Amino acid sequence: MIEVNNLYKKFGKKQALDGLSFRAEKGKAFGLLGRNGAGKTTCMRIIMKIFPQDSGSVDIAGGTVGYLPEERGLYPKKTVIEQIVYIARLRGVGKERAKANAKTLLARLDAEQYLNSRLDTLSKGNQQKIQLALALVHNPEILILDEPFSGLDPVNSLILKDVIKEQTQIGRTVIFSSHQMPQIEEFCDDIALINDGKTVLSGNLSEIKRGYPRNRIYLECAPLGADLLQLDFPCEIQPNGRGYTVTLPQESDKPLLFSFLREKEVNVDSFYVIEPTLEEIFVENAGEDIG
Amino acid sequence: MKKSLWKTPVKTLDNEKKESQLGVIFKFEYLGYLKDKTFITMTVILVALVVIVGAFSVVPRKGGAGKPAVYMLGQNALAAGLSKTMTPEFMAEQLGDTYEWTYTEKPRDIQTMLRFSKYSVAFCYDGGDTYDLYAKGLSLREMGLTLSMDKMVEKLYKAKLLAAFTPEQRQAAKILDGVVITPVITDLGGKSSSNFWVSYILLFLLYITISAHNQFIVSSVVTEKTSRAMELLITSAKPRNLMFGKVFGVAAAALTQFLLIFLAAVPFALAALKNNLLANAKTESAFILESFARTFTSPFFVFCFIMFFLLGYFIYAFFYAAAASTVSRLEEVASVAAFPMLFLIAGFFSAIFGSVLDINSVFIKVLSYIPLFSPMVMFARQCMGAAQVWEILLAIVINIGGVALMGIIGAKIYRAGVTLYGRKLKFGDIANIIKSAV
Repeated sequence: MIEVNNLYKKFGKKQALDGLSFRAEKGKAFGLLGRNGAGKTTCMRIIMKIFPQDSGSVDIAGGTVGYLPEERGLYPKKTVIEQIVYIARLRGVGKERAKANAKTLLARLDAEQYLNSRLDTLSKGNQQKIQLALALVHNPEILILDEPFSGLDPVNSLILKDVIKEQTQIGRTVIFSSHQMPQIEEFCDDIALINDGKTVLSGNLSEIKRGYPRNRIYLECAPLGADLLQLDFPCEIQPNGRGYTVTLPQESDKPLLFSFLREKEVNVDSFYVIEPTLEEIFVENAGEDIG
Repeated sequence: MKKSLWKTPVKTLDNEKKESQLGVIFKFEYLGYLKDKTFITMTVILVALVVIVGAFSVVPRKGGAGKPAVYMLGQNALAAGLSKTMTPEFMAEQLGDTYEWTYTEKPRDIQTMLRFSKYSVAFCYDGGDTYDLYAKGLSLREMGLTLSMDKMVEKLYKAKLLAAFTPEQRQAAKILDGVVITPVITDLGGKSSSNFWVSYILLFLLYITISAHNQFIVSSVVTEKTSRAMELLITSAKPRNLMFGKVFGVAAAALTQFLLIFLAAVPFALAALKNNLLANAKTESAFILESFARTFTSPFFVFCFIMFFLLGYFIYAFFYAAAASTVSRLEEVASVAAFPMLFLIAGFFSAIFGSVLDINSVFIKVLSYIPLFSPMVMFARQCMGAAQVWEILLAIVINIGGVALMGIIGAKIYRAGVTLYGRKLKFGDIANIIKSAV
């Protein structure tokens, strides 16, 4: 478990963190979300004690921490195995165990063939995988991953996603940052939205979404005629791919909509409530558009 | 209770033997530096140089002891019968055995003759109060030759003048000439000229070792910052362990290099101690090798050499590591290395010029106790026999304290500097760090 309370950090005139607080529970994936420059990396560096905060506290309960920095950084002229074993030994892993862990992890990350390669001969994506292996080599209880998907192709992204899922399944705490909302939505149980160094929103992602009005329905059905597009009660209907998005005035109007569709004998193939996306939630809370 | 630097226990995850973090870093840096191409090249070149110089020193010269030299007499000297006095043996007796003298008739063009002959020096005397000396190049050691020549010519000329005097005039001349003072000088420091060479060479070795190996520390620290490896390192290990491990690892590699160089020199040094070999090889390098061999037979000297070498190395290593941590780009390495280099150069030249000019001056004495300068200056004083045992030991103790203080301050600056990117650590920040450390 990691608890961050009222973190403040200033660099010159820039207030990087302005009272940031959140809590990441054991055995869960926690998403730290925000724009570039929001303070995610600064927060992670403070958690990792790279530099101290101006005020506030960080409490870590539960053992060793593995860290994947935002920027790839290793010895360019040394081999992969040499570096992984070195970092593992610094963290208390014996030499032989470090070698065994390194081989296992590289095999898991589909990077075994680079064991004896020099780091500067690898692509960015493969270097990122090596960095991930470094973060995991000492079997940490807590993982802090800063922009882990940066530089990864779709195949390697999938491998990384599986690894993160495995970590949470065995009870490890994973905190990872991204400014790519879909990744956070896919993984994270809990999130914190940061903007200008402040926590804009935090908590369980499902509960956050449930807290928003559930008045948007996606309908997949035969094309609606013009008269059906004009309904007795005000609502907005927009074509959406193979179906329609119906935005009702309020959540309680859902039965009215389905009654109307039954009355008009509309053959509905499928429907579901459209939950707000993280981007929409963030835009609403942060008041800015994000990319 | 503060934990000892060397025993930072790290939790192991299995039953393998516990390794200290400092030990892991030390081994990594030591082996990494031993495999570095620049280090290997430097070691090979230095060992080869020692072997070549040593071999050249102990190979006996053909045909005699000294360098070949020629002397010639002018018409007036021949007329005065000086050819009977000035024999090759007389020349050797007056001028020492650096040269092996051969008489020849005076050629028309002495310079051309000398240039195209095997002779190093040509001496030409015509019986007067002056002489001509032609040389292909006098070494520092041979410059004393002219003093001996002055005395020899003075003697010959006076003898020529006195020959024309009456016995009473000769008696008067003797009185007017005054009493010749022949002092008996006992140099408690031993042979000063040979000690100077030992001092110069060892100081130069120390200077080169400090600047060459510490450049590696500087570029290694800056490379770790520029490659962003530093972020991973300081989240895996204590910054002070990173700094000390790097410094100790590079020191061990430097000592390994030294050991190889000394092992290469041992056979030649042992040969140099055997006089019969050197008797035939009166070269500059043989003279220096002999001086070295004799000096290093003293256990106290060896102890002091090792201590001053290590203390000098470590104080500058911590200085360089701390300075390197304040920059983030390889382009800034030269500018940051210049600051400790200033102190190094000042110490080196103070030691050298002190040895040549006045090793007992107050300035040199004071400098010999100030860390950063002391390892070189006090060592020079020891080599020249100008320091007593208690002074040497006091300097060692002061330097140990200096190294410890530089290590503490250096570690704090290192910790603050290694995570800085895009801006340098300002003097104000450094001053605050030093204040908090002291």
